[in-house]
Amino acid sequence: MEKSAWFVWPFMLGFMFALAVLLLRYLWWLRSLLRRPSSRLLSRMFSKHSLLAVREIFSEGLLHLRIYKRNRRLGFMHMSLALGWFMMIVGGKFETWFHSGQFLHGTWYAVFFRYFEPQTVGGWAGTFWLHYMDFGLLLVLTGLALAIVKRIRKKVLGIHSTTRHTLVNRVALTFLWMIFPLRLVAEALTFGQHGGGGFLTGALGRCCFTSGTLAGLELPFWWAYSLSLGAFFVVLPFSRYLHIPTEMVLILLRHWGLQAAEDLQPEKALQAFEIHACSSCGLCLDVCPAIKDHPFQSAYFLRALRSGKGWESLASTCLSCGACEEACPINLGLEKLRMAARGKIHEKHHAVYSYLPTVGPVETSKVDVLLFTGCMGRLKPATTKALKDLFEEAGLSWVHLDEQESICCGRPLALAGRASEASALREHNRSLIKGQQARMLVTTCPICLKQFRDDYRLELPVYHHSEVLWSCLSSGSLKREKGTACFSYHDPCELGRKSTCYQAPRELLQSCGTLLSLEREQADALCCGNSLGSLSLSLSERQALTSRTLKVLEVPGAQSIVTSCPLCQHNLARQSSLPVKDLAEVLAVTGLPEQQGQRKAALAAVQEL
Amino acid sequence: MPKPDFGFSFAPNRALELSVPLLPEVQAVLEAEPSIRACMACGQCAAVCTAGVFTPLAFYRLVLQLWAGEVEVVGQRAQHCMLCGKCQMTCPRGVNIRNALLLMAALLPPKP
Amino acid sequence: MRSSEYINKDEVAIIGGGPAGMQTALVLSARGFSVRIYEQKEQLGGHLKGWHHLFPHGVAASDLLGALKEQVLARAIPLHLGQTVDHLQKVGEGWELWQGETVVGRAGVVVLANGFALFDARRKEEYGYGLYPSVLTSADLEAVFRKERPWPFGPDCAAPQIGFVHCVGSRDLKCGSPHCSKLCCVTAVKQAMAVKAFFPEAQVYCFYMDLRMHGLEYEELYRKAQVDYGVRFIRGRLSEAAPGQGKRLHVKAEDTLQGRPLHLQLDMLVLMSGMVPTFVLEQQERAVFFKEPVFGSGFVPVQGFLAAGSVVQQKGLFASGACKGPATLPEVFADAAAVACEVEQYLKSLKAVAHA
Ligand SMILES: Cc1cc2nc3c(=O)[nH]c(=O)nc-3n(C[C@H](O)[C@H](O)[C@H](O)COP(=O)(O)OP(=O)(O)OC[C@H]3O[C@@H](n4cnc5c(N)ncnc54)[C@H](O)[C@@H]3O)c2cc1C
Ligand code: SF4
Ligand code: SF4
Ligand code: SF4
Ligand code: SF4
Ligand code: SF4
Ligand code: SF4
Repeated sequence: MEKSAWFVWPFMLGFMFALAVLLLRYLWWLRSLLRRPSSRLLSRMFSKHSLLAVREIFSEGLLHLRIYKRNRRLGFMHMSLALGWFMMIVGGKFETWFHSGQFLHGTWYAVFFRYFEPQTVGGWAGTFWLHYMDFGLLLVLTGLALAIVKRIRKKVLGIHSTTRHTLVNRVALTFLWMIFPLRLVAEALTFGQHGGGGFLTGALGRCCFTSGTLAGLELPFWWAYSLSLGAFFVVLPFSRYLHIPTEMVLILLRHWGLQAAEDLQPEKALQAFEIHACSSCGLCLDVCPAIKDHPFQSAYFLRALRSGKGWESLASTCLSCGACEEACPINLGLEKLRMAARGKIHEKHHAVYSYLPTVGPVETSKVDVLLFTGCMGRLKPATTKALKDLFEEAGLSWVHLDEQESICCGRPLALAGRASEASALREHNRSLIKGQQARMLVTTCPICLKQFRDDYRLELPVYHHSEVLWSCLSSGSLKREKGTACFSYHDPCELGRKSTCYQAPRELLQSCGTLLSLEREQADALCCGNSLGSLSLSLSERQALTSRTLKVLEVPGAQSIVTSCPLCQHNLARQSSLPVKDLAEVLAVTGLPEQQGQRKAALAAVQEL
Repeated sequence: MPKPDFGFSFAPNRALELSVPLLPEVQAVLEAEPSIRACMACGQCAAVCTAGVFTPLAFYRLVLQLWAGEVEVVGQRAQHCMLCGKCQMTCPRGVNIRNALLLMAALLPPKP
Repeated sequence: MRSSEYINKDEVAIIGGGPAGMQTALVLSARGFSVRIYEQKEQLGGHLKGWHHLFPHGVAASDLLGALKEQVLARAIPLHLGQTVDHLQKVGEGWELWQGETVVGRAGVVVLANGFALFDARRKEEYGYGLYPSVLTSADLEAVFRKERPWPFGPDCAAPQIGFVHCVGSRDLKCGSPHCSKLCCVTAVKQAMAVKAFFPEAQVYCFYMDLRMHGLEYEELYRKAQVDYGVRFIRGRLSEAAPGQGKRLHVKAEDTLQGRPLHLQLDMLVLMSGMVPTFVLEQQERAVFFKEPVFGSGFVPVQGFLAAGSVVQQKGLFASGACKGPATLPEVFADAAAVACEVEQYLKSLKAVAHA
């Protein structure tokens, strides 16, 4: 090598530095695991799970397929940046191997290869590598252009909100943006002066940089390229770009069966990797119902956790509606993390339920349904009555477990991060259910539903009333005729996103009327604003969210709004200009076959007397 | 020195002394959840309370006791709350009762 | 282009034929102005025609209404019954009154006297209005007094247990009505006494948050209810109504003075529904539309302290009576006279400008 190689040092130093810091941080996060490696992890490490992980790293870390599915333009931007850079790294390795016949080189060699060997071509295969490397560079530059556009005009990329960055991130961003244009100019200068190059760099060199007066610029541009690379690497481990390597490790660790802790440990194990794997892609911003009022969205929450400052209020305010978790392209366990943070805030909170009455041995008569309406159910007599009427009509027998007094299912405690305190409540309700001879447990509250399903380990199946009613309809024990009624349906977060029950309510409504389609529904539905998930959101902020949700629901033609959660119904009903009903209430009086309708009216008239 | 015995005693003063500043822990609770100040002691929260059927938990009373500086009782009673949120649903003044109770139980822990 | 010439600048149109509308019309007519009343119902009277007797002295509502109507007839004030004005169009200095696509009247000045609406108690589902026949609103109970509907319990029930719930849909941010309706406390007292007069053996409870006895002699009425009628006042809120023994309702409440929860079986539960706006004004270019109120809508706003009834930012548009917020009949009558004076001033000032 005759040419001066001093300029590679900034890159080399930066790169080594980044590598060392990353290694140290990862080892620190994994410290407990290294001390006591779990056998499960080791066995998974050498199995198909690692291959699956590699596949996911490729599809998510490089191709960003999940972002692409949500938002094509944004997905393309991420894909072109990551894939292009990846192509250049791999291609660089192969190109130097091809030309030198030697696989191992200093890391800098491939990065700055064309400075040292501008004219080496090497037949058609060498030409291929030249164009291949240029293609990689072009891809990155396209991504870069989109990223700049996104900063200036976010709407162009189909998003409404971008994350606001801190200083270190802006510095990193600046260096990152400089790297590739500098490489383009440096290579083009070299090719312009010495000939050669691919379709991009070579052509640019031939058209702009052949003049001998520019020869003096060649080395300075390579210096600048190296410097910006080096600087970027130095800040990388302290900026959001840490997510690039971290996401890959996270995917591996997840496939190896590692799970996030229940308590907050932002510098430990899987949680640390999750917190640092967030790319601030911003997908969680646009879906959040509260985006205009509050910057507490997951991207900000995770950033606060990384810096260790101010995460408390962000964790308490969020509604836990689950929209961001649904949207997050790297499937971060955001709710679990938030609950862990809430648990940490209220660490000193301790509950005492020694006052709960003991449940004596329950009488066991065989029934079809154990009905649990929950605390909120007591405020919704119309729903309970309608449901009982429907059970009667369908020929189902039932026992109303909590008709007199009810004890909370425990999920509200879990949503406050105090799941551990709820065991006494669960025990109480479990003893109510145990010993009953029933085919199923039915709840009218989706919050209870989730809790019973996930945490109670009951011997009988648990259903939401919409699911049971739908099955009655399918089996023919309930009959409905399509009428002229026109509904819009609100998906409760806890029933939709949290329990993926979207179809049953829709089938029920379509059986007796017309269901209107909405701008945001199913997994994209907005929270009603009344979620138990938020601890500190004020009433006026909640009401602002509710009116925004009502704007989506009050579509032209809708005669009533239907939902299937007592909290949502309570909240929407107070604020809406349209009547807001529970599914059961609607089904009890709508679409009744002719004769049956008359019989019902007659019965009601008799009861009035 | 043993107290002199005059053969009679004065009852302790029961009056609330409003010119004395609020206890710092009371201030901490009020600061962390300012909506507590909006409570008008209507009793709706107690009427609906899931736990109140079994135990003397009544949120509005805890608020009154908080103002009176009776932090021991407040901390102890707040532990009985199930956080079910029924009270908050019906409170006409929009007090964030669940958060207030969490804070009361966490910041005013009863002495063991 | 319509000219404003065909509008008689001195004519006053009054929207609403309730106590406020009638009284405003009477005062203006007595002072020599030509007035017309536009009323959406087929009869004059507004809410007053649904009441049985009036606090604080127990005057029969029909007597008062009869006297008002008689005067309106005597003065031959033109009535446009069955006409629901839904928007106004400004033409020159005056107004056109519209019902849908047709002009139903023209006037130099319009006085809104559209009154109030009762809060829809079905929105408080936990109290079971519309679900349990024994849950009534205060207006329903007046209808019972007027023998327009039956008592919700049978004749066999000589000693009914009866509860009144104050502040239903008032003083409630969750319902979008933060205001106090001001007269439901005394109405509850009046009705509780009336119920006791019908059923001397009845046990009557009033569940209140604060008792707002703001008017002259209201406090005396409250004392009378306690001492002479044995009505029990419980400071606390009701939780929910549920089916109880037989046809009774089971209610849970908190007695905030005792600091204890209480349970009760009731034969009748009366909800003191609050007063809410009937419509909100919406300006669209030179038209003012009367729109369905939405969550949190306020009453008709007037300009500052010194104005009795000039509607904010609308020259020549005035408001009288309970459309500006909860008011009792004496207040409505006093207000109507004040608004009439203001209208007169306005018309005189227009004339002065024309002369100059
Ligand atoms: C339960 C109850 C009991 C009460 N008891 C008493 C009592 O004992 N003593 C007492 O002093 N006060 C009492 N009040 C208060 C009293 O009813 C009111 O002060 C009074 O009715 C207000 O009169 P108003 O004319 O302003 O409104 P309203 O009585 O509401 O009359 C408004 C009129 O305007 C008409 N209108 C509305 N919109 C339009 C439109 N767009 N076009 C045409 N017409 C329209 C309506 O049909 C109605 O006739 C009671 C109130 C309640 C709720
Ligand atoms: S949390 Fe997920 S969706 Fe939100 S910015 Fe981070 S990676 Fe994107
Ligand atoms: S859970 Fe819902 S409210 Fe909370 S940050 Fe995510 S999207 Fe926003
Ligand atoms: S989940 Fe809801 S309704 Fe169910 S018990 Fe808990 S708070 Fe009550
Ligand atoms: S319901 Fe609300 S305002 Fe009423 S006493 Fe309870 S906290 Fe206070
Ligand atoms: S959240 Fe606590 S205080 Fe409120 S109703 Fe439930 S148990 Fe009672
Ligand atoms: S007058 Fe009495 S009942 Fe009516 S809203 Fe005011 S306080 Fe409540």
